[in-house]
Amino acid sequence: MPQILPPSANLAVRLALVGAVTAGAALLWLFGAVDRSSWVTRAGAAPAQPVPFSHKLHAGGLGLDCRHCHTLVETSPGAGMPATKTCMHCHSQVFSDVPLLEPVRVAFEEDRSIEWVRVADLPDFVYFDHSIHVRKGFACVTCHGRVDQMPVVEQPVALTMRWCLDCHRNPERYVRPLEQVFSMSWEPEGDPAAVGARLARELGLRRPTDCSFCHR
Amino acid sequence: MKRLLERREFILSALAGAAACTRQPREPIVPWGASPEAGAPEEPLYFATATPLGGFGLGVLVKSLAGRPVKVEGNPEHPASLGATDAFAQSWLWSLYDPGRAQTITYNGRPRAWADFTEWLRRALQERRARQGEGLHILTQTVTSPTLAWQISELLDAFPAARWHQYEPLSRDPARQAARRAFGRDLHTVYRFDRAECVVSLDADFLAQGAGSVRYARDFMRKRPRLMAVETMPSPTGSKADERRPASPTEVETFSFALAANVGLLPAAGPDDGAARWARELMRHRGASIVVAGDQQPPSVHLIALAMNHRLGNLGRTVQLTEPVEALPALELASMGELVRAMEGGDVEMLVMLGGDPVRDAPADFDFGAHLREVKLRVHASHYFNDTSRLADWHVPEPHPFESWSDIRAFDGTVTIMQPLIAPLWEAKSFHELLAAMRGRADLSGYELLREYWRGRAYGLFLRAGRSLASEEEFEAFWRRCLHDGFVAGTAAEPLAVEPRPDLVALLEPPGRAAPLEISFRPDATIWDGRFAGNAWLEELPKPITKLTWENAACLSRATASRLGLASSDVVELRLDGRAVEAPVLVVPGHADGAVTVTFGYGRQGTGFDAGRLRTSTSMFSSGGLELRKVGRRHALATTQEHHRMEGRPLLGGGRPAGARPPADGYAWGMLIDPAACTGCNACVIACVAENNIPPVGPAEVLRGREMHWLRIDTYAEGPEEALEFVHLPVMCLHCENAPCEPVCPTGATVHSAEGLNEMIYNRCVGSRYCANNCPYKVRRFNFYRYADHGTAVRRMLYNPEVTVRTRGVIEKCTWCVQRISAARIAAARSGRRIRDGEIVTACQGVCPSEAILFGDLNDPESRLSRLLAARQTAGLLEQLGTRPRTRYLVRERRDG
Repeated sequence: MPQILPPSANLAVRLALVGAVTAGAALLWLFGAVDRSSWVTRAGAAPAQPVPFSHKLHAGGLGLDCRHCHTLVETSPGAGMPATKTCMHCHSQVFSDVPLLEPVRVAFEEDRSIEWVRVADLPDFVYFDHSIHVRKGFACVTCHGRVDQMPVVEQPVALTMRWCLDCHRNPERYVRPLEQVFSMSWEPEGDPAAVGARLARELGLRRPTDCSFCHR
Repeated sequence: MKRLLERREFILSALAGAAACTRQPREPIVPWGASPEAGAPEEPLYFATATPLGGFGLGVLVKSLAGRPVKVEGNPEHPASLGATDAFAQSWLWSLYDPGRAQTITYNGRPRAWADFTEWLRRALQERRARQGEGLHILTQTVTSPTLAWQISELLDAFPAARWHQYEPLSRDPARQAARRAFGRDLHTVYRFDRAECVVSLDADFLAQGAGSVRYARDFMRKRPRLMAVETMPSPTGSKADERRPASPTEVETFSFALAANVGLLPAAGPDDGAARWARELMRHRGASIVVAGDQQPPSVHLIALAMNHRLGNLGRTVQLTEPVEALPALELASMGELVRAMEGGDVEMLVMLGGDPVRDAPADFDFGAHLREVKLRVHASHYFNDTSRLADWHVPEPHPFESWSDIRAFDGTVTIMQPLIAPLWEAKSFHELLAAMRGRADLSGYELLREYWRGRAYGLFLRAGRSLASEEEFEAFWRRCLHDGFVAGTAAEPLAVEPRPDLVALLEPPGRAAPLEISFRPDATIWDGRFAGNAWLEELPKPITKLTWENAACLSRATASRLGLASSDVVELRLDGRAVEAPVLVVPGHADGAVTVTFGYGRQGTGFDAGRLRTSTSMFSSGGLELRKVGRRHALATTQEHHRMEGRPLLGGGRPAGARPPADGYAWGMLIDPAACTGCNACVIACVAENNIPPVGPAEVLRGREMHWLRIDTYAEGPEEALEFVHLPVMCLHCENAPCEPVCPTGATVHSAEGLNEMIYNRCVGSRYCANNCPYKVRRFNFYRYADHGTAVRRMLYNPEVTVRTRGVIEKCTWCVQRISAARIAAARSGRRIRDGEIVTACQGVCPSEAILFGDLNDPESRLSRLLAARQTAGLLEQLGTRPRTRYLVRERRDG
């Protein structure tokens, strides 16, 4: 019986084998790369909002405290989004007729909500609590960035588990005095490592990495 | 040494990408228009209200998150609850979000507006007004609601010739008849198990059934009096008896007579050692004993119980008689009989049926459905569009108890004003609104009607308390107080000092010889009289003792089964007085010989068989003359009895290998379970389901052993058939310190926390199921399919947002309610303190009527848990395996003699 395949077929098979392994590895790498990409994590993305609210103007320019609008941040898991009425406290007096604020006025008159687009979004299987982070000396700016410099608010970092754990494992690198939690521009005086270690001791910080602290 | 590639890095570099290459959708944030006073949307609000069953209420606190009721807890200040609930109270959440509820007013099946109905009603009643309402009949279930009773009596004033009938398929007629014979009037009985030393149950399941059972279980388990029970079908109460005697319905009656003879009430009929011993025990505890007759026992047994309690000096002490709690106590079978006779005679022109499903529930010989067809004008109001609704012209959806205003009385008469937590999800009109419409006031809301009644009532209550109700502000304060507390203070029925007539039992005829085969009709432990049929949370609960789900069976004893040549799963034809129904047989250990027990209410939703078709007005609760014929088919019963077996290993007391103590800093959680207190009532199982978003899987999946309950109650029956000892063992994840599930997980999805929790991380789980294989307790559950309903919008409202809703392909198991631990930890850390003992109450612990479950901190030597562990002998389940379970069980102290 004659040979069906010529000897050169050996090479083809070898190449195919190597190619399959390479392609598999490349595919896995691609999956990983896509998953970490800002397209998936939405880091740096600044979605359009129904009202072009500027944190730069309100928090930066006017110097409003974060808690003026995010009232629940010290007491509840969510930071709290301002009710339409909160906007109208000021905007019934100032800029009460600019067209940009028309959606706010309509919502207020109709007692409706303004549907904002969530910028800092965690997966549903992560249970994050603002109140305890704030109480333990972790600042708004650490996760949300310099919102006082953002005309349109964006998420500066990718909210991945690795990023969360970096802080949960080394809280002394990020901790602040409690009175500086809502400050946008605090810098430690002296050696940051020494200040962090002292604060971590004073605040009784642990290194909480138990899964069930965030996943349940 | 650092490994070349850490597991985490490997997953990060490749697999996580493959597993999670979905991009999260953008989600909106929807803040308030104007912030309400209540605060954060994540902060739960609790509203005090009540859940109804058979006309009686159980005080509850319903947890509401962002406007959604998501969990039912007991009301610690309500006398019927004391913080606990039964399984039924929990199940109301499922029906709240049930899209199968009636959603619109219909006329002959076609949608109509409320205005159309009220216009029709106005005309129909106008015709009848001239004749004083002759031909108008109203059928309700048992009514304890003061407002509803007031409205009905107003209506009857306006239509003096109209008639009001009451009917519950599980009526308490025999007890009412006995009270009328003994006292010449209606009286209500309240038992004080907290004062009892010795209790005899005459087929009474007082620990798990009836309006007062939650309170009774609490009182009973705190006091632990000696309990002797005679019963046909093993019940939760019987399973806790120190001495238990199986007896067919006739034998229960005969035994009651023997007992009465032994306390000197009757001439002795024949020697009965058991009766003599029990009677001696009772007489040793004069004034501190209780004889309880079951609601389904004939009047003679109730009379005997009354007479014995009288003779033993228990009346007024452990057995308190009060004014009736029902608004108009009626012999309900007779009341229904009158209605049916009137329908037969063509005297009923208009029938308004408030609640229930009489076409199904009424005794079969009444043939209610056929008579109903002859009535000219038919109105029915109910939660579901049922068989009666189909035969009615008009159907008005009844709002859910959490959607409407009403009031109701508890087993001791305490009134709760039921407040809504959510606007009706679909169109619905409460009975109050419907009755107001009959009086021409269709514009009045339930709220206004309740307020109107209570404004009048408050004057009387204030007067009795020696105060006067001077102003509207005072009424407002009273109203707010009632809503806040969950009950109206001072409305409990006062115990009366009454004497029964002396010749109570002398005239009683002892029963004749027992028929060769008797049938006993019982309420179902999960769907009650059928009103909860289709409630998947309840349907999937394994019934106490039988562990049957989704259906009923003809239960009989081993001896009777072998006499008749039957085995479990055989289908038989049950024939009684010419009526027949086919049913699968289930052999139940401890069942009385010569009797078959069936529960009614099934056969509606395609599961089980309708035992109600055998039930006639002469055999409401039991009957002789049952014939049983093997059909030759077999039917696989969806029982969980043999699921999750622990391989026959010695369970408790297998010895305890040495091991290290948990770390002494931080918290070390632990749990203690008292099997001796557990009645197997299932309240914990369904509370766990509600708290932890555990999906029902349906009968087909249960048959494959795939039920998802994190907490199961294993029931063991030991000893000879006539003196079986039952043990209920609640088993959930025991959070082993040396957990066998953890090292076998390929992805590290189940790991240990510093506080001693065996954690289950769903988003890491890839579904290898190695952990479930390696768990000796079989407490891990796998989502073979996507059991949780992610799609139906209204069903999604049911989920507790504090707990992940699991999807297909992941393992899940008891977390010790880690969400409650987290909430307490954060609250404590926020105010810079440790978590207080008792601050964390797991869902199962919170609802347990008999306080069988305790959760606490092992590192706190002063916690209740630590103190009990130090003081009492405890054992770990399968401890000999070296798993070092954190959940421990109290070793039962046996009572001799």
